[in-house]
Amino acid sequence: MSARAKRRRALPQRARRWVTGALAIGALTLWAFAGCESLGSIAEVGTAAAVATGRMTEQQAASVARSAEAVGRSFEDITPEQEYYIGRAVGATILDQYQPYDEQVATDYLNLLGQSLALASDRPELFGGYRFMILDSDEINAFATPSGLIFISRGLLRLTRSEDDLAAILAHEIGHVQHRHGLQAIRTARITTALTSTAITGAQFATSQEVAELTSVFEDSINDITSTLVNSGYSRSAEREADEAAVEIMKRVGYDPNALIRVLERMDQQWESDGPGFMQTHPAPQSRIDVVRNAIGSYRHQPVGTAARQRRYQRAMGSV
Amino acid sequence: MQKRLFLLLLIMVGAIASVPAQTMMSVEVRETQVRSNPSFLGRIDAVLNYGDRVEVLEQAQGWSRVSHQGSAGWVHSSALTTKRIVMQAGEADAQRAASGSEVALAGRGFNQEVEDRYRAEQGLNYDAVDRMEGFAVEPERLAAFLNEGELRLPGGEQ
Repeated sequence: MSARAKRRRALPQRARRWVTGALAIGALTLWAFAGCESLGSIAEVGTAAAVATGRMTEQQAASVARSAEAVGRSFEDITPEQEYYIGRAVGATILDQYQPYDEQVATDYLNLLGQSLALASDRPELFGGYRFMILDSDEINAFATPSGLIFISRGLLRLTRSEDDLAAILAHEIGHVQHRHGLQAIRTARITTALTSTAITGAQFATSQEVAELTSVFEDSINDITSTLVNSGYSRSAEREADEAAVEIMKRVGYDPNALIRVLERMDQQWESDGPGFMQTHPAPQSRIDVVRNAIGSYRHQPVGTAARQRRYQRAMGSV
Repeated sequence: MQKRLFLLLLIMVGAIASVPAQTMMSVEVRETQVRSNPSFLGRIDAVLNYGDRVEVLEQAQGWSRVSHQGSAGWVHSSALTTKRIVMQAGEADAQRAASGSEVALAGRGFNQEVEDRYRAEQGLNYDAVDRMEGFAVEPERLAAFLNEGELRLPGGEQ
């Protein structure tokens, strides 16, 4: 068996190990978070009972519900600085499973193209900025970490025929970053625990015990994101948002948004519902094509610069 | 005479009311550039750092014209937050950060210390992530890339 084939076979096994590990961690930490997770609902049940027995007015009940809610934090409260550390950890996990493909000309070209698209997105500014890397894998796959580290496999690169095709894939991943889909995969209870912990809100810098606790929440948060990216995938609505963002970005920069349809059609030809990578984590290409058509609407692409784009695409991607 | 005075008063009150409240915002990314016009291809006049406070003078198409230490220019709005970012938090800041959303403490929570510990426990391929962070693109090369492919960036007065 070739090394590449071995890696491919090894992945589902790793993923299974991961799920088992995540379950074990989940069980260990369940007691710690059980209180926070159900805080809101306990308050609701408790106040409902109090209202029913006449010990509390409706107004008082509403005020209790509000204060319980105020304790909760959502992904929107995660600062770009914290998002940066989350993203680095997700990136380090992905690069532990996939080998980077270190080909300088291709990587350089990918970053020029990716940066052009990112700057035209609704969220060009990130704490550490966007970066792009090729993964040495035949799998058809791409990942984006919350902090803007974007990975694309050689297998997916081989589905592209032009710079516009490649732009379509990168713009879709940038769409996930723009909409902060990665952070939304973190369970709300963990975010509340992390953002209200004394390691953040205490007057003094954290003790080693506090750092240890926070690292444990960090680990669980990274697992939430990576298991979504690698195993379960985002929701259909998140994929729709990313496709719509991709179309918008491509229109703004001057790439042909129809390239996204062409890439999806090629993907469809190789689609096996039980296949690895994208086939596990993304809706079937055919269903996405309708969304993309809608997003393109009556826009008419003006083909300019095609020859120059094709020359540099072939120069950079020829060997990939 | 009284009527005229009243009119004058009315105009003065109107003028005060129409002056927009001063909007202060903070830089929430590690570093951002202040540009001569609202475009990533605009000339870079200054660099702002994480936590810098700026006064927002106007906003247009995703860009904010800001004033910082006496000079003004354009910054992309996605680099700014209405929160005040406190670099060295005292007790009062910490309490404010805990109770509301108008203050954020830099370097707290998921930070370098947590990463160091996580990295020591998990291993993982942080070396490749560090290498990846070096894949930055210089502005001149980006401009040449766009130009060669007959591409454009959104924004004004390119």
